[in-house]
Amino acid sequence: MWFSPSLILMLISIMSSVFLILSSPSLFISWLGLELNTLAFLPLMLVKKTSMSSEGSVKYFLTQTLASILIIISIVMFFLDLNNVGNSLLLVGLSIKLGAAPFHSWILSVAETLNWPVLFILLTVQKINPLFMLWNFSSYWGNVFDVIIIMSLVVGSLMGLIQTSTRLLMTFSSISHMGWLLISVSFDLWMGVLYFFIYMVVLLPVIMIFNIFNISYINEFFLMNFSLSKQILLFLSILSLGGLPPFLGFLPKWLILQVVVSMGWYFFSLIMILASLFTLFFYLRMTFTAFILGGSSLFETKIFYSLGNLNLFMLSLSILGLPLFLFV
Amino acid sequence: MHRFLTSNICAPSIWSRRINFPVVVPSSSFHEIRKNGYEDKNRKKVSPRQAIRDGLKELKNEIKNWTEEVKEGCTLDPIMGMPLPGEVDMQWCFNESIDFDHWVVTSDSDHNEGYSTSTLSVSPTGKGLFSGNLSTQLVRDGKVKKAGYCNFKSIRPQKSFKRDSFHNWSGYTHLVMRVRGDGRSYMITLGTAGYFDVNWNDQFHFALYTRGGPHWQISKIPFSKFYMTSRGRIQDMQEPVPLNRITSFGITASDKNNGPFRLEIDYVGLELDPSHKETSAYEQYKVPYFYAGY
Repeated sequence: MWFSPSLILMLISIMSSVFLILSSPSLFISWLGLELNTLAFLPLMLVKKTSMSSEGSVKYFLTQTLASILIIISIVMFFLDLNNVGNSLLLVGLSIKLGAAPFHSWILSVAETLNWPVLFILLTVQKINPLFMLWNFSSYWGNVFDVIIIMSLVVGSLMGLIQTSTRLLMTFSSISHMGWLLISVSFDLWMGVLYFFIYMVVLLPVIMIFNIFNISYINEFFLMNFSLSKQILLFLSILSLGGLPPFLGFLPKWLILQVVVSMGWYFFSLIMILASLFTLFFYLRMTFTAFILGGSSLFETKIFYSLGNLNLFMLSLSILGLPLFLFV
Repeated sequence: MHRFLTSNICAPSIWSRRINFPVVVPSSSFHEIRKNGYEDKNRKKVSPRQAIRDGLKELKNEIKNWTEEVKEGCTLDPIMGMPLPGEVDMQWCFNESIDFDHWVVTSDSDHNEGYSTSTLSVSPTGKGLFSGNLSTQLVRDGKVKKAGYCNFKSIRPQKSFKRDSFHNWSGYTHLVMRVRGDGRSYMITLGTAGYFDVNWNDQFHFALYTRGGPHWQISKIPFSKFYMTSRGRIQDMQEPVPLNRITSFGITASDKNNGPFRLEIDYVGLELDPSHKETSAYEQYKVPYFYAGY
């Protein structure tokens, strides 16, 4: 499936859109990159032709198009010297593209319809373009930007507490991480890049394991044909995603908190720490449900899967990678 | 202004295409055009002032429902709602206290398209009873070509402020029913209306075969066996039942045999069977583009 020429073309187009935005000289060319990104992502969503995936792709297209319309109108506003209106519309458009709260409802209904590899692309690669554009304009927004950051942190952490679908859990976790990313981008681009890459490294093994064992709900963990001693690796990587030391996921949060506190933004740092606690709780709950019910033997045959080399490498990087802070 | 545009500018182009369903939406209301069912010809027109008064009467109840939903969302641990393997979680229990407002019973005679009759009542043993008379006799109006169905189904669940909701059966693998039939075959229908109108009429069906006789039977049907239809037509592209988006559950009697039918139902429940790994029982062959289903 992933090696069909048409899908490779779409993946190359997504990469091209990223390079287009990174090297664009104007806002209009950046908008072009965003459109290319949307266009190229839609066939990836429709690899498996079910009514749910069709529904998700139409919802994705409509919301992204709305956001693009707002961005194009903001370009017109800049052209007419109405900078305040243009800045507001641009912020709203980019926030919709990112799925940042309070514009996050579309990403929840779309995420439910996707398979795990495409969901990983939606939660990581699709965020690069709007984040980079946000970094370019972050100095113009002030308080409205702060509201979006706080809402993303709060919504992502609190709404994840009542979810049982693993896809929605990962999506809410992504919304919460989006709040952290937006803060890091508003300080320094390289901090945002570092956070983003570590988030990708930490998220990838979790999603790979969910994909291999086809886990859609948190009561399916104990159904995995996977020995408990190896399952602990999965849950340590989930805790790494939650930002718990001594795992790699703690590193970017540590750096950003240090900068936020040194700048005197104590209220922000309080919200960030509290939001992290809530996200850590629902990651831990996944672990509890697996290990409480995992002791019973439900299967007569004991055929246990083992993880591939790439999966093991990503897991080890996620769990043991904290000493990388020496190189930051 | 809107009435002028729709009646004078948009409408003539529609007439030229000979479309006779109501594409021109009345300017005094905003509603989605139905894609199925029968028009209610006896519907009373309510003035806007009366509609506002009726709405305000229900406002207090809806706010109360909303606060209860928020409290439940804050206090309920979702882990407690997760299915445990081997347990049957009852969805509907049919007994003397059955609330008939939650069920809609229909047959072909409702709109003068046949002569079948059906009722949902309480049986002498205190369980639910779906019974009636099936008749395949056609009404002589020149329009009806097939007749003979009776159905009862659950109404769509609603949240506060009349928002449509779903039954969330995710995590379960089997539908379990304790029934006592008369030897006839019935059709179980799961409504899975989608977000967009092309999917509003999507349903999943499977047969319920009954033994008849004095003994109750427990039918355990995996969701993977259900096949998808849209407006009654079986679809070429089959997919698993979207268990997190179930809108209704119904049973239909239409096995083309004239005569009375009787189905007693004790309960309808759900079960998680960890050994059941099948997602869809219907193989999908890869066909060239522009063949069926594309």
